[in-house]
Formats: sequence, structure tokens, C-alpha cells
Amino acid sequence: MVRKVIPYEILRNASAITLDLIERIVTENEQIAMRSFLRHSIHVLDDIIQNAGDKPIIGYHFAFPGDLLQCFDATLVCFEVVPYLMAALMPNGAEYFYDRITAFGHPFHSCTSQKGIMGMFLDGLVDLDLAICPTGPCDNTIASYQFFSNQMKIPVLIADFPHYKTERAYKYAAEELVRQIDEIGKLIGQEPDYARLRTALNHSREAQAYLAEINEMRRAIPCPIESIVNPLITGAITMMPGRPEKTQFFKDVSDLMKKRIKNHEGRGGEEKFRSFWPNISQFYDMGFYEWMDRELGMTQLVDVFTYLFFDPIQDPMHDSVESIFQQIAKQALNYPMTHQAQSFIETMVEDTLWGVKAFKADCAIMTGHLGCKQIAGAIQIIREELRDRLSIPMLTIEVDIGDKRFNSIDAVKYEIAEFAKTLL
Amino acid sequence: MNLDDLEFIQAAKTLKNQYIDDWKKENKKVLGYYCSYVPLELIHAMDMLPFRIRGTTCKDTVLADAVLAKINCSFVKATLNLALQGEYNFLDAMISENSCDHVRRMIDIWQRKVGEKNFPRFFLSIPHVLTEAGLDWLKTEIDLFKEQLEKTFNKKFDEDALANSIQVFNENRRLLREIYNLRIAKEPKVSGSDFIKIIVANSSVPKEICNTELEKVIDILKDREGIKDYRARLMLVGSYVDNPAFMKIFEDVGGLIVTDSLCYGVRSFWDDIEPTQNPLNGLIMSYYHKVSCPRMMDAHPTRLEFVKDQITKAKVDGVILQRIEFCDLHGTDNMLLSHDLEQLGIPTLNIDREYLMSDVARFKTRVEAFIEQITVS
Repeated sequence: MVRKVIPYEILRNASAITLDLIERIVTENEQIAMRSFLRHSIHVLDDIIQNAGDKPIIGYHFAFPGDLLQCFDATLVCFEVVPYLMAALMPNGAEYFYDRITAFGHPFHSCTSQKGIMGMFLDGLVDLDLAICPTGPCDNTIASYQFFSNQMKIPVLIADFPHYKTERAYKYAAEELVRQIDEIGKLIGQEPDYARLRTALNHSREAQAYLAEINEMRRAIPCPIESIVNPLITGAITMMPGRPEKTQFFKDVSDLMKKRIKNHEGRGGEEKFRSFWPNISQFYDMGFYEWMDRELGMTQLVDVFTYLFFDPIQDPMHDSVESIFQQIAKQALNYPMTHQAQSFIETMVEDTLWGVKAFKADCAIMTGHLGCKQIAGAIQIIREELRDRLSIPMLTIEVDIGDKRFNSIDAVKYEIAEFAKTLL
Repeated sequence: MNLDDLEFIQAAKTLKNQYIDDWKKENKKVLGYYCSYVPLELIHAMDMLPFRIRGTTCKDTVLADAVLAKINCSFVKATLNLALQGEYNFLDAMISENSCDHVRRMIDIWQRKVGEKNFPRFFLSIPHVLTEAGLDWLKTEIDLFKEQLEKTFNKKFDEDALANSIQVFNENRRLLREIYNLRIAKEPKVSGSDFIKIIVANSSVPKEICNTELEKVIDILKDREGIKDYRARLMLVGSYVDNPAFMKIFEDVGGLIVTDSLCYGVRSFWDDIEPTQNPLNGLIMSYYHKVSCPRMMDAHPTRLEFVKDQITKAKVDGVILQRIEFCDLHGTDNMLLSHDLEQLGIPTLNIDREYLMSDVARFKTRVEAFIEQITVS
């Protein structure tokens, strides 16, 4: 049976072309993280494409714990990663699909991470067995997934996540996850395979250990890794749940950093400024990161997606299934963006203050993403807290993370360059 | 007697009113709340007055603009602006929920910028789905809320008092439904703009007084001539509305808002609280299962059925789907409704707006064109 996963085919081709281009025109000791990411992405995308006809296809929201879905023999596709990787790899990204769904009546100001995939569904580019999402971290999620269930008539399973980070909330979320896994099993006619899940969690545990190493090394001055690694890590976290490719990518980055530290090397280009990004980086111009590193001399240390505020699963191979669900629930409520955005403002404030201090940043740069209303509402308070408690300035750049038309990269660069002058 | 002559109706024009002054003179508390999921009967049963936060009297949002972003909701900004101006200083506490992203952050800021350090803030995490587990979560949440109220205000919860409050509120709903029936008549006795005044006043005054005053309102309305000079019967769906002037835009160009699906409108009184042996459980059950706004992820079909039912009951000619700019929830729900209603052959106008009515002329033109379209076809 032929089932369509056309956006993933597009991404696979775009990744392959980009990798080919890099290998032809860039010397082999450049763009190492990007090469590793693309190689592993192609592997994951190949799997999706090859298995789409044989296995059930499950679409998942980026903030749903994708690791958990590895208990099924299924093709797993993250919705939100598609438009942003398209934006990163293709000249016009997913803009056609944003326009497609906007013309259908969807609000222009909703998040492009969902608008892109909604447009793709309108054009019939994906066949799904079901989709699964949490009730957060934002209104965009809550609103957009109702389109899939009510307009596209796709079974959408919803795991309700409370607003708190308390033991009671973790317990409730764990029960929600158990319920949803049970529902998925019924819908696709499979029993959850917990041995398979344990292996996946083991991969994620290893990956998280490498990510912890990466983040530890990013504290070094100068930072031993390029800024572009942030959107790449985001891509790996969302697209490769519980997969060895994620582990290998993080290991490649960690090894590269270790080597550089050993050789007293930085990331290339002089590091004049160190910036902490409390929200997600932009995806629509990857050259921006080279500009940051080499022309401006500003490192993007960490963004909201690349530092995990949760522990790995303690012992994936031996913990009880019940304990695993509880631990995954805790991870889910503290997953990037859910931790910050589906919470009181204090969490974002404290995370930012902590991050600025921990990574020895000179400044913070906040992407005021068009979709992120809850983060937009926190910006001024974060700015004031940074100023009053740490004497650290924060710049806000208005962008749409996956749509270059909202604010051109030249305008963004100009704003950051002007801001950098004030840091001298 | 005119509706506007009633002191009760005057309460819709201001935030604080004489009834609140009298209430506070008795050293009784006023609790501000933001969302229709707050169980008002529980507050009433503890002899406190729930007051729905609104943007009435707001002229601009200069102060709120400094702390919120331009992509935040203008209604939320209006209420925050009033709070920053001190207009909400008569409140003794604030109750908020995870209603939407804009409200969540606004309340965070309110707490930091307006409230004194010991200004009590209560928060309810309401599930976004309708499930047994969600109901259990909500029961615990309301139980904890009840305990916090008891502790903060030195009150004792009493089941009999709650049962009485439920009766008082159900009577209030019954009276509002009586007015609703006068609104959906062939020659409606009440316009949409008058109706919103009644609803707003009703959320700003102690309920026992409301019930007495609503009887007077009904008498006045019954004595009125019905409205005949309208061109189209409209239903208003979507974002929060508390401003009669907004309704008048439609009514000035020949439309008549005969019904709505608004959290501050028909949905607020449509269903009674079912009397149960355990009144608190019955209360929670009713609030949880009421016709929701789009924050409830699995309830679009119920919302659609409600809209369809209202269209039939009120003999609606066209539906206005409106959202305050940057509302992702209503924006998406309106998109879904517009396609649903189109399939049923019901004309719709899908519009976005600012709370402070900054774009009235363009808006009027669109509404006029819509009414033209309905009446010609």
C-alpha cells in the first residue's frame, strides 16, 4: 500500500542536496556539525519514506514525548519540525504552505510550525493513521490540532498536561500518557513493545549525556562550537526521538568540541560577545549563524531548545514500566518550551537568569516569534529582571522563526549589530 | 420606564458601582475573576462577591503596551491598563486560570506590577479535554481552591450554603433565559446591545440583587414594542464582548444580534447547575461539561452543535464570526466554523477586530456588505 509522506521526501532531497553541496565546496574541517546532522537526518528520513507503506504512520507534536512512541513498530513523523527544516534547507521554505492554510481561513498570526504542516495536509501530501499531541505548550497547539481532527478527520489523541510542575501534575500526566499509549495500540492494532521502548530510551539517555557534555563545554570561553549547532540540536531532538542517529549526532558534536578544547581552539572567528537566547532560534537563514560567529563575533550559546531542564530516564533497561511512564511524564512537563511556556512567568525568568550566569553571557537576545503570545507577554518582565538583577541587557528581535517574509534577515542582522555596539 | 434608567443597568457603564460600595461597607470581599470556568457559586457560598474582569471605561492601553507585546490581545491589555491605573484596586483577590496564553501572562504581570505583595492570587489549572481523569483533576483543583479561600479569608465552606447559592444562580440563569426568549422573538423586545448591558451588569452586582432587578428588566422589556425595523437577524460568535457599542455597529446598519455563542453571552446562562446530593460535585460537573470556548481541544463538535441550535432557535439569517486580533484559539475555531456553516448553506462573515474599536468604519462597511448579501440572496 502506497502512503504519502511527501514533505519528508522533500526534506530528504533537500538534506541530500545540501550535504552534497557542503561536501563539494567546503573544506572537510568546516561545517562538521552540519554534515553530521544532515547525514543522520537523511538516515532517519530514509527510514520514514521506506517504512511509510508498511507500518502505521503516527504524527506527533514536538512537545509530545516522541521517545514513548518507540514502543510501537510505526513510522513516526514530527509535524512541527517539517516547516522549519524546509525553511532551513530550501530558499522559500514552507511559505507556500503557510499561505495555503492562511487562505483557508487560519489566522496569519498562528505559529508557522503548525501552519506549514496544516497547509501540507490541505494539499493531501501526508497519509496518517493518527496524530498525537499534548495540551500545550501554547494556544497554537490547542487550536491547530483541532483542525486535524475536525477538518481533516484524522484521529487526534490528546494528552492533557496541567499548568503546574508538581508531583500531582506529573502523576496526572503519566496517567494521560498511559491512556494515550493504550489508545494508540487499539487504533493501530499493536500491543506496546516495552523492550523496544527500553532500547529507545537508552539511546535518548546516551544522547542526553552527550548533550550535557556539549552544554558543559559551551561554558568555555571562547565557546568551542559554532552557533549553528542550536537549530541543529533542535532538529535532532524533535525529529529523532529515541533513535541512535540523535545519539551519534550529539556524540559527533561533543567529540568535535573536546578536540577543540584540547587544542585550545575556538569555534572559528573571534568571540567578542556571548549571547543567551531564551526562545527558539530562527530557521529561515542558516547563513545568519556564520555571520554571527565570524562577522559579528557573537556566539549564540544556548537557546530554549538546547538545554534540557529534566533528568534522563534513570535505568531504562531495568526500571519498571510504571516508573518509566512517571519519568517520561516529568520529562514531558519540563520539555523545551513546555517547561517555560506552560508555566508561570517565574520559570522563564529564572531559567533565563540562570542561563545567562551559567553560560557567562554578556547579553540575551529574545526572538519575539509571531506565534509565541505567551513568551511575548513575558519579554518585558524578563528584560527588567535581567537588567535589575544581573545588569545584563536583552534585545528583542521580532521574527517568525520559519518565515523570512515577516522580518528580513538583513533587518535582524542590523538590529543585532546595533545592539552589539552598545555592549562594547 | 427605560432600561437605561435602572441603576442596575448603570452598573454596566463603570467598573465599580454603588452595589459594590455597599457590599464593601459591610466589610465583605470582592474577588476578580477572568474566565467562565471559575465556579462562582462557591465564592457566593462563602459570602464573597465574584466580579468578572472587563475592559469597561478603558480609553487606551499605553501602560499595558509597555509590559505586553503588540501581538498580545487588546482586551487583555485593556484590563491590565485599568489595573495599572488603579481602577481595580477595589478587588481583594484575583482568580485566574490557564484560559489562554494572553490571559496567563497578563495575570503574571498583574501580580507583579499591581498587586501588593500579599494580594491573594488563586490559580485554577483547568483540563483542556473532557475525560473522567480530567474531571477528577478538576475536582481536586476546586477542592484545593476552596481550602485556599477558607484559609485566606477565614471562611468556612458549608454545603447547605452552596446548595442555596446554586439555587440563586440557577434562578439568575432562568431569568436571563426569559430575557433571551424575548430577544429571539420574531419582533425582539431587546437588542443585542441592550442584552450585553444586562449581562455585564449581572456580573457586577450581588446575585440576589440581580435577580430582583432582572424581574424589573423583564417587566420593562415585556411592555416594549418589539423591534421591527431590522434587515437581518444575526448571531455573534467568537471572542469576548463586553461593550454594547460593539453590538451597535451591527445594529446601526440594519442587523440585529438576536443570539450569540459568547462566554459572556448566551453560553453563560444556557445550562443550569444540576442539583445533586453533593452540591460541590454537581457544580464542578456542570462547569466542566458546559458549552466551552475553543480552549477545550475536543469540544469543537459541541460548539458547532450549539451554534446550529441557536441558528434554528433564533431564526438566524447570518453568523458573524469575530475574534480579537491575535487570538489563536478563536481564530482557528472561527475558521472551522466558517467551513462547517458554509457546508450548511449559512452565510458567515469572518472578521478580526481590536477590543478598543479602533477600526469601526472599515468594520461597518464589511457588515453592511454582508447584510446586503444576505438580504439580496
